[in-house]
Amino acid sequence: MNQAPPAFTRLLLIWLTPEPFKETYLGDLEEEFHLVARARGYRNACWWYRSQLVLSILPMQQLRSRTNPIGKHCTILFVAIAALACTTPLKDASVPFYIIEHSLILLAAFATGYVCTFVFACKNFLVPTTIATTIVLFALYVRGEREEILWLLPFTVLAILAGLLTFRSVGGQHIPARSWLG
Amino acid sequence: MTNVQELKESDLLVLCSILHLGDNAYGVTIKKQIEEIAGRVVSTASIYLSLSRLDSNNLVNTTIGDATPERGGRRKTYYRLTAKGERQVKIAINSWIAMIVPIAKKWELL
Repeated sequence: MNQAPPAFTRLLLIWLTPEPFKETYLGDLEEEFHLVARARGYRNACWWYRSQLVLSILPMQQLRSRTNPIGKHCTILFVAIAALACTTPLKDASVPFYIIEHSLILLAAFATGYVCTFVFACKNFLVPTTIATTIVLFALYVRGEREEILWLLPFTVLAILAGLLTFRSVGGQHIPARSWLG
Repeated sequence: MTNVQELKESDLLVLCSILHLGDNAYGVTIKKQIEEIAGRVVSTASIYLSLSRLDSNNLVNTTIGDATPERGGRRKTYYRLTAKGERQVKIAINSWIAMIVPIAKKWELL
């Protein structure tokens, strides 16, 4: 009987695990897989192994970001692209529609910043949020859409405030406000 | 320098289980120790996240072990507490004792 862990799951785990932890983490999972197989059978062990893949996603992304110093620059790039892509305001729309539209633009930029904070090594949520909103405002200014900027300003302030509230590192350690306020 | 306030509870559990395990502290045994003694269900990945934090704060150091067939030919990484790590555990335990003993006396548990 084949006692190896499911091959495809193992491949995904190899891809997911950052290099410094690859050998030891995958070795640990394989050792545990054999322990589970002896105790509960091969089929249960396979399901246990697959569950470890799901449980590994967030911690391994956090580990990756801890070991990836260029991640912050990637975050800024991603947020900039996302923010520019969002900057396509509709013409001649009614006032409520403007509010909904601009809320969605900032929400998209904000969500992208949040995802990038986890995926890459950005130290906090504030930086991508601020960059995203600044780029949206700058793009509107360049395009001569001054009214749009006025509508967006309150949302920008709200987004930056939300960024401040979620000001924490991806490693799980809080960064005290005094350390960046100087 | 890391002070005791910055240590997460999960990091402290990992430090304590490394102390318990002595020379045999690696991912699988640390996880088993936490599950058996602390009664917590933890994932191996979260153990490694804690270990990475502790390693970057110089609270643990690592040695590479031998490869075994049940690990698919992969080597183990053993963890040991550094002097700084031991100091942190002592500080944490002392502060817990200072917190808990008066309550235990008040409730006549001691």
